[in-house]
Amino acid sequence: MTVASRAFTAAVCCLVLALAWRAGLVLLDHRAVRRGYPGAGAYRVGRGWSGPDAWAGQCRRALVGLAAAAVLLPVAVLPGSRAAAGAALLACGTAGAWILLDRAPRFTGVCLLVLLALVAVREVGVLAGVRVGGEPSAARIGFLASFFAAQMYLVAGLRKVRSPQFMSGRVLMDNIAYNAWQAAAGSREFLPVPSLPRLAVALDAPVFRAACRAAAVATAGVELTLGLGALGLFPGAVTVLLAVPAHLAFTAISPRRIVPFSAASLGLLLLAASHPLLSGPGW
Amino acid sequence: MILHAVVTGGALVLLGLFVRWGVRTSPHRPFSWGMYSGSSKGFLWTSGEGDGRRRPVCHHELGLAPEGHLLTLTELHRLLGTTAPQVRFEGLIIGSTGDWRIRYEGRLLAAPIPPGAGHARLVAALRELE
Repeated sequence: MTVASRAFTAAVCCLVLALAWRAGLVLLDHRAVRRGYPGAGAYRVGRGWSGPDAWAGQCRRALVGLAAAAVLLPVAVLPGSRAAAGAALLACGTAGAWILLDRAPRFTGVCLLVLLALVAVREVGVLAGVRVGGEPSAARIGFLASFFAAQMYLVAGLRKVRSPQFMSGRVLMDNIAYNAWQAAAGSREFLPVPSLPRLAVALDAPVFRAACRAAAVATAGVELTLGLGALGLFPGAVTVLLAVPAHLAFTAISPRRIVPFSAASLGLLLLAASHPLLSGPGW
Repeated sequence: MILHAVVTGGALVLLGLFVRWGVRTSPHRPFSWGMYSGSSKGFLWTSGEGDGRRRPVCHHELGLAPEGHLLTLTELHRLLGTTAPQVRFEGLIIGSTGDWRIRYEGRLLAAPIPPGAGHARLVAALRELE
């Protein structure tokens, strides 16, 4: 198995995880709203009121997305099979439609759409009889992945650098405080760490504020480094080795909700690292 | 080789423009990647249990969807106008759009907090929750 084939397999696994987890979140939210909310409906920030019918529709679409993820899984195991490629193409289209219909895609949705498009491009190549895992096809996929991954990480890093609230550590402090607050309110989405009494002590402590500031600077630096790594300025293995713990650390901020984005962006980065933009288009 | 260099160079220029656009555009647009560069969080509590003890307010009491973790004053207005919850609460909104002290008793009242004072108010609120 070539490096490119391994990277593609890993990227598809990340894509399947992201889609399945995203669908799972929708189903869990629907269950929570159906069981515990007056009128079995809820207000969604930026989208307004969603009644029982809207939630049920979301659930149905999420199940379709989950099925698409399941169909994509054989592609990871059988990357050269034409039958798997045809099914994968259908699954990519279905999952893409689910994301577009669900809401105007933002961070997770856009990252998933890019990864789905790249997988679809590769599967078109398999169906057309292009040499599977061979250098030209894999190089083109990697080149495109590198372009989009670099844009994502560089923009994310630069936005953070330009944000005084982020670079002062306030965003991290606010998120840590909010997570602890929500855990104390009974939310299972967040770890009950620190406890509210300890949180009060921490927020008052200069050491904690300094640590949050340092973590913020490190986060912006890591994202910019990953952007440059996605371009090919560092060896692919170094970029991936930096990305995995970084995304695990990001997951601590929102353990349940950030997994789809982390998985999708890691999948994009794996493809990018296999043949980054600075290696050339590979024709 | 020359073609490779031209294509790669062109891609780098396009990437530079794409990055520039992404950094400057509204953080709500695709490819803007503004996640966590700012935040706005609601710290809401109620004393409505009869014994006067304060506790954090849960999402379902407000009718706020489980996914709703970014809360601005504007969104809180819209939320309360839509769901009109029974629970009476007060609290703080702390974040990029400013820090606010709020109170809800069928009607939302909000007062700005001086810049930098939000966390001190939050610490005081946390101590009263203990």
